[in-house]
Amino acid sequence: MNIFQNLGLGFQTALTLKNIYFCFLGCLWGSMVGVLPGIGPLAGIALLIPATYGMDVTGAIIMLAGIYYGAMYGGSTTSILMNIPGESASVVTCLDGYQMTKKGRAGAALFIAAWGSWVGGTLSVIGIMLLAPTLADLAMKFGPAEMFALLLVAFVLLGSLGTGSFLKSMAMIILGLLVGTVGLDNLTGAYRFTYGIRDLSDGIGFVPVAMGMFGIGEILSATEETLVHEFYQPRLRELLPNRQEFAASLGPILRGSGLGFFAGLLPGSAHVLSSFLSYIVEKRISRRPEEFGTGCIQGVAGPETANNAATGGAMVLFLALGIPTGPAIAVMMIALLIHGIRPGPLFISEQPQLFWSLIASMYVGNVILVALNLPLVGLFVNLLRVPFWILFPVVLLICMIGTYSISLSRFDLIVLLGSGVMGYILRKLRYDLAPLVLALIIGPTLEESFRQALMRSGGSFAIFWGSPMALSFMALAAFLLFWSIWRSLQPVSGKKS
Amino acid sequence: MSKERLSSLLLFLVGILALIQSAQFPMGTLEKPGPGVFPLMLSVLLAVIGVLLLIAEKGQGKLNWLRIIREKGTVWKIIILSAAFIAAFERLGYLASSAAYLFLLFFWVCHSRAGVAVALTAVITLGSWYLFGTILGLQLPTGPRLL
Repeated sequence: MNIFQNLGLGFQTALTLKNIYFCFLGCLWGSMVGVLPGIGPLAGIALLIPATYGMDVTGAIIMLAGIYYGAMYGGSTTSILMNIPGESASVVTCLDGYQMTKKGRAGAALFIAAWGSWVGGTLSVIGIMLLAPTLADLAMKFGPAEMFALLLVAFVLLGSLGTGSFLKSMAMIILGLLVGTVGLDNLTGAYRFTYGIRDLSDGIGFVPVAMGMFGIGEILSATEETLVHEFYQPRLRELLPNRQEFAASLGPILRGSGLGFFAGLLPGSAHVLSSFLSYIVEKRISRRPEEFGTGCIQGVAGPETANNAATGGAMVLFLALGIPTGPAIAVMMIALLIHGIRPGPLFISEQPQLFWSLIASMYVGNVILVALNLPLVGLFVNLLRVPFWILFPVVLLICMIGTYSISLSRFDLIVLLGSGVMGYILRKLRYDLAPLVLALIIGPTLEESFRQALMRSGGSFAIFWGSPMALSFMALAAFLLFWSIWRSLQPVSGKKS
Repeated sequence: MSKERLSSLLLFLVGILALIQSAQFPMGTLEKPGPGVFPLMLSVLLAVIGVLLLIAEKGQGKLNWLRIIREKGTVWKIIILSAAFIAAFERLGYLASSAAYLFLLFFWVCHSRAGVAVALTAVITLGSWYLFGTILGLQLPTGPRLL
């Protein structure tokens, strides 16, 4: 069957009333959590995982994916209207988006952000369609050595593309990998670092650690800041951009789509990276770069398109190789595992209906999001009228419920709180948290690949550069490692972009 | 010692502790690596990075523990209340424990008036029970289980 036949079948499933409803729910919830600072897609997805237990797996993944890309849409609303990024990927949108609001062009900025998000999201779904099956076919040829080398590349990239220092990011990766070794060793059945505690025999759960670090840790940090917001609520008739703004945004939207998709393939903070890259590119090629930061439509169109297109890129690695590129994707992976589905090279061939339904639902979801985000912008902005002192106890409670309901374990709540405190301290010390949580979830696969490769080669390390693919990945990992070390040793120049 | 240096030292110590622990796991052979090999490699790497960070980090000013305890009052309160909530969650059930948790957060941490705190607590506790327990069908402890 070719792509179009597969997609047709996917649409047949995605366009059933039940799945449209799940997609709508996911998009609505995603937009809401994207708007609210402190509750990102990660908490949004984790909270709804238990609600999917009674659902069929297709509906479940359609809803959870809707939350993921819906949060990217929602994040832009508050960046433009209030200078508050609901999502870290929308930080850069504040620069010109809020300036446009001050100039009375908030409606146009919101429209272009939604339009760009739709174009970026839709084009990136085409990218998934074309790239994921090819990549999965290629990955079928992967042995443990190739998988180990590929994961090594992912980890070095995580370290070098992080927001903090390279050494600190590497420390977080190693710590995450070490935490990932706690519990039962799958290859020998031996227990490691469990100290006789039965709750530790299954290892330390990813969801409590991620929710603690990003949910509770964020709340603890935010209680130290006093935020006063100005509210601006655009009317529906103000939403249309003028012809000049529309024309000026076309180029950044197309460039942002390509840039965002490929940036999404990189592990770590791909959404943040994609929006910053797009902003830098647009500023560099602009004839009037001095206008950036003063309310320039290109500064909204490019980054907002790019962070939505990055969602597609991230889904490629997740679906085709089983590698989550960010914490939110990793929570989706947990949800699939709970439903007995393992993303990876065999996923597309073994679950074609699920894969193509998900792809088709992403087209549907992008349309739903545009329809939701423009007319309901006032409603989403009103969510921010809720004072922080009311919001944070609710967020704390949501984190607790979300974590507890996944495994019904009080131990997970203890891990949640411990991770929250640790996340708060690490944040204060300027450590990047994403590498730690990603290493925690990918770590066991890295270890298994390493040991299986050695077993297969009879103890010879040459297996790690024995095939052209493994050699290429190892060379790339080595190059990136040396480049990152060299870069971190360079003295910081006074001029910052 | 600055907080940056202290954190690097802690990373080093975690690495050393993990190294001591993992050295006790079976190492196996090169042909069949045991469960101790990977944690051993990681703990060595962590200790090395801890040392490198200790050298690289200069830090700003000395740690003042008294100031930290005094200035982070809200953070301490949230941590203490959350720990108490976790301890009581399964024993008292969702409704009682979350009501107490929310009330204390509003009243003690956010300094809202008692009436406002009670009203908010009632709305959020019952609303969340209805949303998560009834509509989404999440399994929440009904309590009370005092032993």
